[in-house]
Amino acid sequence: MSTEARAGHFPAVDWNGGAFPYRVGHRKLGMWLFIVSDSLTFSALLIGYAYLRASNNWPTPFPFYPSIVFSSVMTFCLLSSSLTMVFGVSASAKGDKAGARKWILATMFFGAAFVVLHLIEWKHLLDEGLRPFFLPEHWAKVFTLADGTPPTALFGATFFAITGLHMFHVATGLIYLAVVAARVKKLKHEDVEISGLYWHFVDLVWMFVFPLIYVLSVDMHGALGH
Amino acid sequence: MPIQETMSKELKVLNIICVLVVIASLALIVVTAVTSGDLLTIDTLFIMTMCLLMAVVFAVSPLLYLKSEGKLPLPGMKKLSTSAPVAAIEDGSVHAAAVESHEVVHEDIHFAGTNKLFVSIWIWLVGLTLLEIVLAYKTMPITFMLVILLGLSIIKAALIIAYFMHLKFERLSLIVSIVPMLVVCICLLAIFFPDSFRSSNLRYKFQEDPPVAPAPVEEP
Repeated sequence: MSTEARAGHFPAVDWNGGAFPYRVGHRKLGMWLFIVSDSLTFSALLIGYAYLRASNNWPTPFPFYPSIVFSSVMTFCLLSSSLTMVFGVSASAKGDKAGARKWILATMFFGAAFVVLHLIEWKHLLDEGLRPFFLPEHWAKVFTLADGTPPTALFGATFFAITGLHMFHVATGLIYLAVVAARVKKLKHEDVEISGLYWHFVDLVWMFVFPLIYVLSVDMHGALGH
Repeated sequence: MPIQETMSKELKVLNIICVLVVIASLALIVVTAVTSGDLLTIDTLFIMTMCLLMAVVFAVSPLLYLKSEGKLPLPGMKKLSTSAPVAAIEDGSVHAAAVESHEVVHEDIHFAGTNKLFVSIWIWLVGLTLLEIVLAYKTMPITFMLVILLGLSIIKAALIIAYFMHLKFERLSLIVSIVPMLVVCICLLAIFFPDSFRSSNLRYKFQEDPPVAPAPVEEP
């Protein structure tokens, strides 16, 4: 008799879980721990960004179009992809593997739309002349304070680092979901659920990146003449 | 004295000690906040976070006790405590079956939540996002804006974690193992934020005249 089976003889209340204390498999627990560590990575980056922002003259260059429109549509895509992923996991829980695959493919569609829109948005900024350690010249002129303090060139570094790392997570998630969709008939329900956890986490991170990076840096008074 | 009675007495003493520590920690937070003068310094934030951590750690035992007695005054908690024995019985039966077949069955699928619930969560998330975009074009002090936006983000994150990531329907021990640890670590990272004000004051001040080299002193 295995340890786990023996543990089952005892009533499973919240704290005396025996060998199966969390009632999740080891893979799912592993994904939760990965999510915890990854959210610390993103928190460190976002807090670092907040630190730099508060200690520098920070430019606020995002126009309503294209930046805010694009990022809002991207947010909508990610939220919808989370919804389709939940439907996929729900179908998988009912044993409907074909339905699960269909919903995971829908999730991948929204995820791919996010990446494409984000790359287009990056291209807008790169075309304006934004680089990781340089601001476009006209930004530098417009955002210089009355006392002569120039805007910090770290804007590009934080922007590309944080959104780039997030985009990398989305791209990795697309590959992950593609593998899950291809092998869904052989996989257990828990494996589909774990891929869902990862995907929701990517969505969750964007819920912080979008307001902190985009919404707080809106060019409200049309300083750049957009 | 029967062992049950002794244990319940010990439990009472333990819970009273825990509650006292919680109250003391919270009181220290208030005292620090009132007397520090400046909230946004690393020292103040560090002491407050530590006290909060102490309060949370020591609150776990009394809260679990209340929950086991079904006295926790929270909406939804009653349902949880009444459904717990049922879940325990289910667990037991699943594992008993596993014992018979000499094979541990992991595929114990418990998926809660209907599609209607998930759609309504999605509508909330989209609505809060639209609110954020509208707020972006309102003129207000950046601190206000930051607090509102972060508040909305945390609500959205909580909705995603609880319903989409299904954590609300997991066992309490998993939630208690994952969430507080993460919150405390993020608070510890955030403590360094006020240092940015100091670092911004170290910067070269452009409004002053640029420094001029002192004129050479003539030797008499």
